[in-house]
Amino acid sequence: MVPSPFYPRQSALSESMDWTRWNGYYAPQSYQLQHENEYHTIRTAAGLIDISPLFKISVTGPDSLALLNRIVVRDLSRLKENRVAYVVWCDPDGFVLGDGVVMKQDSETFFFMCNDPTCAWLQKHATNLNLTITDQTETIAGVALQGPCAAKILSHAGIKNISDLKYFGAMSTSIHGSQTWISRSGFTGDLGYELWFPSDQALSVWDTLVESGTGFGLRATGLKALDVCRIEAGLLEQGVDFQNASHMLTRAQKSTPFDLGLGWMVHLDRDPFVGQSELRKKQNSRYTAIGLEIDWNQTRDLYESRGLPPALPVEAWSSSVPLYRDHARQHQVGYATSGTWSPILKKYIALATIEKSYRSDSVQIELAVEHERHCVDAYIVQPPFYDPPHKRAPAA
Amino acid sequence: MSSSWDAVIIGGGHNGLVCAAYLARAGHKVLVLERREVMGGAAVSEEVFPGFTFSVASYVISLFRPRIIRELELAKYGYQVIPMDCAFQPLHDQRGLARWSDADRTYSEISRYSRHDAENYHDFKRTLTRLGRIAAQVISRPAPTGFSLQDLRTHTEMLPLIRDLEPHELQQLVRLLTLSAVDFLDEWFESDILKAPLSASGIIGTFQGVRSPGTAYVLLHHYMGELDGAFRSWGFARGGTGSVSLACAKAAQAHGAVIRTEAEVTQVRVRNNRATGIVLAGGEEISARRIISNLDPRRTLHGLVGAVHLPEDTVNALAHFTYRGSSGKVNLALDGLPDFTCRPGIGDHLRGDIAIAPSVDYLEQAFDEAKYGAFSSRPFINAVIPSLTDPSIAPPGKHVISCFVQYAPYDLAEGHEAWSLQREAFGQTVLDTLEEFAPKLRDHIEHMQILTPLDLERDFGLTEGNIFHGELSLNQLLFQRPAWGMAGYRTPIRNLWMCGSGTHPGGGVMGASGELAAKALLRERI
Amino acid sequence: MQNPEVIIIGAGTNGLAAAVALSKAGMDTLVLEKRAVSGGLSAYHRFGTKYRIPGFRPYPDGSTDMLNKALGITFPQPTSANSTGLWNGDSFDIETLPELADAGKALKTLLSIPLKRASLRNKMAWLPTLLQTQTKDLARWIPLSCVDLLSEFDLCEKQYSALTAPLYTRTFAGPKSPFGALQMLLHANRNNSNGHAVLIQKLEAAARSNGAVIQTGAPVKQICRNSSGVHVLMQDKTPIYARFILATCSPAMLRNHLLNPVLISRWPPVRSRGTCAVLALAMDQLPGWLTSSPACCKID
Ligand SMILES: Cc1cc2nc3c(=O)[nH]c(=O)nc-3n(C[C@H](O)[C@H](O)[C@H](O)COP(=O)(O)OP(=O)(O)OC[C@H]3O[C@@H](n4cnc5c(N)ncnc54)[C@H](O)[C@@H]3O)c2cc1C
Ligand SMILES: Cc1cc2nc3c(=O)[nH]c(=O)nc-3n(C[C@H](O)[C@H](O)[C@H](O)COP(=O)(O)OP(=O)(O)OC[C@H]3O[C@@H](n4cnc5c(N)ncnc54)[C@H](O)[C@@H]3O)c2cc1C
Repeated sequence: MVPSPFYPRQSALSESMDWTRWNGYYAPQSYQLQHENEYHTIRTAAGLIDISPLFKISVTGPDSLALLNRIVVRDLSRLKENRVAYVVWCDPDGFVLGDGVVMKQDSETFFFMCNDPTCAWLQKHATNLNLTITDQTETIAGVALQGPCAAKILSHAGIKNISDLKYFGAMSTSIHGSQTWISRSGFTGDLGYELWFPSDQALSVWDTLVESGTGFGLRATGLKALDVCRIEAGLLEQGVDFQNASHMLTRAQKSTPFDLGLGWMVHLDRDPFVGQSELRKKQNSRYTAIGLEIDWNQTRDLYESRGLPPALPVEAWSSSVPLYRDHARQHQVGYATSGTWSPILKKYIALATIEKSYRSDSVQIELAVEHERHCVDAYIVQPPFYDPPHKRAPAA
Repeated sequence: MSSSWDAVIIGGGHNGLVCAAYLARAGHKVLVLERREVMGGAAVSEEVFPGFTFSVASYVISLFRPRIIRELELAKYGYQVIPMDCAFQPLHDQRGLARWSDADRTYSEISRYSRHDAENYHDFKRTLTRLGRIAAQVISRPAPTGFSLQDLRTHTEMLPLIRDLEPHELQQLVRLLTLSAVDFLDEWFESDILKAPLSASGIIGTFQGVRSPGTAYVLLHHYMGELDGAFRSWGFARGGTGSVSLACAKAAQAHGAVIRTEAEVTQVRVRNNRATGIVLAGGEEISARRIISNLDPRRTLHGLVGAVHLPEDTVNALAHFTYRGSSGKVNLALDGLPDFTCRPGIGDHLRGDIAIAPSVDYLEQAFDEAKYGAFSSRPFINAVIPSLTDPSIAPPGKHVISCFVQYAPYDLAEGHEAWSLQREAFGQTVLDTLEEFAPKLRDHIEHMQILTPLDLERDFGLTEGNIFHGELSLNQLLFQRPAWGMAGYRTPIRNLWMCGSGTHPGGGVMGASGELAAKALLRERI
Repeated sequence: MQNPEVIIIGAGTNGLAAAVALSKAGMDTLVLEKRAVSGGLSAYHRFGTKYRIPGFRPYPDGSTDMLNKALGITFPQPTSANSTGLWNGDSFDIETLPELADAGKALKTLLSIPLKRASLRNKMAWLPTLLQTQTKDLARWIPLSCVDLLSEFDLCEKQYSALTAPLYTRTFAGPKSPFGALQMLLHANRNNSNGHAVLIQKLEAAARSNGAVIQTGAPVKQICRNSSGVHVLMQDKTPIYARFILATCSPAMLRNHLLNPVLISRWPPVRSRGTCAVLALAMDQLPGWLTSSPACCKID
């Protein structure tokens, strides 16, 4: 286990001493004793989230586009310079291995961020290609600055043209003298940016951001708050909502992009890429990813009948919960993979995978109240649950 | 003549707007008439000074009914409440006392003053939470007015709740209703420092002291608030309290309700004991099948209808309904943050509720002066700095402090008109008091807004400056709010209804009066 | 002495009244009184060499009737309708406000219905009262302060204070404290009479004649229970066993001194906060203003 480049700042802030491990790094679950304020900071002001533990790979050289396009299911030849794209990649059987973000820095340079080690996979497909793959995980640090005040804070920090940056756009700039790549993207479904800069400059960038952000309510926020936000934003998390196929033993544990509702991303009619032929066959997937809104009245009534006020998961959960077609719990039609109470929507929401053939607008989700298992209705909705206009709109 | 509106609502306070939204949602043609140029009444946000948005009157949210949020889909229209994490009480000692939502942290804070209290605090919260559930049920239903079918339902629904209680809890409930806040707390706690801020919540908006019988039950209000579906205390509405009203207004408009501001109603037209329409200040007349007033009972019936149209006992009952405003408000625009001597620096203790209530005697003495017609020379102050949580309401790095101040009796010894002469002195008293704990606060002040009870009456239409449209004392609650026989949101005038805080379940930004009034109306199949 | 069936701790008014009732019912009754005289708070208090302060003045009405009926004790009839206040030479009492007096009566009837199923089922007893009376007024009045209550009537301020003073002074509250009206309603009509001491003598005599034993100067130290049953321990540690023990001393005394606190879970919190003192004057004659007043009361 290694500390993140921001560890000196993080440990000073960490009141709760609540750390978890993320790709071999210590990562704060929350700084405060409870993550709730941090959640609201992201939704009302701006949160500063350390994302350095992501794997960062730079691919440079004339053939870099060819390599990436060979790997990912999305056609990256359509990706313009200074843009980022969300991508997934599959094994030859068409099962998802991982997801990540690709930033096109110039015609021959791509910056690739993902949650599972992927360097070897890239190397494996790079034979005879004219390019260099560099693992920059340790040399580049990253923070996400997420929330409605994010643009103002960056502009306060001296990045005047930040408001020109469009949704999923990227730019190279400098913060406090450090060369920094900024993309307008994130894992919260809010207005937000991700910043990448050399690890040895990490503290000075952090300090600059904190200093410019204080007047705007900026706070460092941990992963628990982020988790609630990403579920509200309807974003799937690898290892939670789907699994890396290479780690899985059975077919049932793996998913195709179609199973995850990511069919829109799969560009089949182009040069061959890993998994292409199998994906052609698997287009009609049995499953699809959906969002659920769990019926409030039934939930409340269940608790009331036990003499309790409704207790809602203020922290996101991420375990598989069966979904049924009927109250008797005879016919399972899918499973929810993560869920949370959404403070901003005032709804209990979950992400789930369900049989495509199941046609109805609600399912029964299992809910344990006081050690007893019950079922309540959950309504099927299309994520994102929370999609504020400022996520895409020109940043003020 | 057939009237063009199914319902006209007089007053665009949050209750009027909730009522409008429910009626419009049920397919009725609804018109809301608001005297001021902004919506929200006492739940309002106004950019009083450039860049600074004040929650001018009401400043924290807790009791807003979750059912309304869901039924009217208020989250969609911008309802967002951010819970407060801390209740901080500066003292003249080294640390002051901060109570946090985290139990362990609160334990260690309280145990500095008393280990006994720190241990009891948990049990205290648990008991009140259990009792608070009953209170929460009471406020989410119409008050029983007699033996109607609806009342029977209420009774039968309440029965299991009561049966669920253990005998000693029932006893606590009775004690809560009759004891003074301090007497009640004495049974749990020994340290004055803890009892003071807790008891202070019992006096908000009343003309009573912390040792006056009957003030204990208000403690319950703090444990029946429901934020985020969990029973929890208070929070800030993002964008100021007014955003709650605006969310209600947007919901109403989305269902087709029409809202007119700067439309002061001067009269309700009554013919044959039936309300037929209203008259606006300019003379414009609007007729409607139903008229619903968001104003307090005195303004509605004495002011708009006129005693001549009312039966004798209604006139009597209205005369006995007391207002007696006792609080004022001071809003400050600052270029920095206050620095409390007992806990210097900028910390999370500033993000919650800051109570100037150093001891029980301090609070009782504040009341003493009010009894004889003067504002407290050292008042109880409940201050919040919402800009720390919600940066959108102040320019970057600048802040807003909202100070709720008690006691400021409407009836000064020199008469209530004297408030215009004493306003400035009142504001300075508040600053002096704050500076005892946070010196040099004045250096940071850019602007200051002072609201005396007289201002609350004149600007907000709150009779005698009472923040709750009439005192929340036991004799003015439930089936007696506003008077025996009128608790069903009806008035003796047919087709004239009431939906403001002067009706059950009373004041506070909870929307319940508006909701229940609308539902009562809808049951009538208007 | 053989073990009595019931031990009554304290020979105050209540202890003695209980003694009369129980001994009349044939129970073997022993009254243990700490002080040298019986009567408790209603006993004559001697001071100087020749003077005694008589028992205190008013009795809530109904109690004389009750005593009459239940115990067969005849209590001296009211000597005069004592006035609560004087105004312009005229006396007046709360009874001059008939609405209050009515409400007060109703309240007392309601309060006297024991909360038992049987008595609740016997609707004859309470339903008519409930329906007849101004439940409406009661509900509104009870939470009020004395002053708020009286302000609903046409009175002048001096009358207010005369009416309210004797009531709120007994509690830790002021004339403007909420719930003062409750006290006022409870006392809204009363038959005043002099001399509790007379009552004490009568009660004591009645108890003894029924065979009850009254021991004065016998302080109880503790109330206990062991395998042989409940008993009291006297100062010298001698136990006296009985089937029942009836304590009439204050709850605080019971909890703090007589009972083992471990035995009591959830003792109801009862507050006792003294708020008044007595000043007794021995005078060689009545002051003029008292003798000349038309409302002069007969002195016992
Ligand atoms: C200083 C202050 C602080 C408070 N703090 C809190 C708090 O922190 N938390 C909390 O829960 N509650 C608080 N309250 C109480 C709460 O704000 C009120 O109880 C609640 O807002 C009342 O809402 P309402 O809709 O019933 O009435 P109002 O908000 O009073 O609405 C009445 C409306 O009618 C309009 N009107 C008046 N006359 C006319 C006319 N003739 N024609 C047309 N329109 C007219 C008024 O302008 C107003 O908009 C506070 C109140 C005040 C004054
Ligand atoms: C100053 C004053 C003025 C009052 N004025 C009036 C009035 O005007 N009208 C009115 O109606 N009421 C009045 N009261 C109240 C009234 O006197 C009492 O409420 C009443 O006498 C109580 O009777 P009791 O039998 O319940 O208790 P008590 O009279 O207190 O009797 C309890 C007895 O128990 C004995 N005891 C206690 N502990 C022990 C022990 N361990 N062992 C043995 N014995 C024990 C005590 O010595 C006492 O004799 C007044 C009281 C006071 C003090």
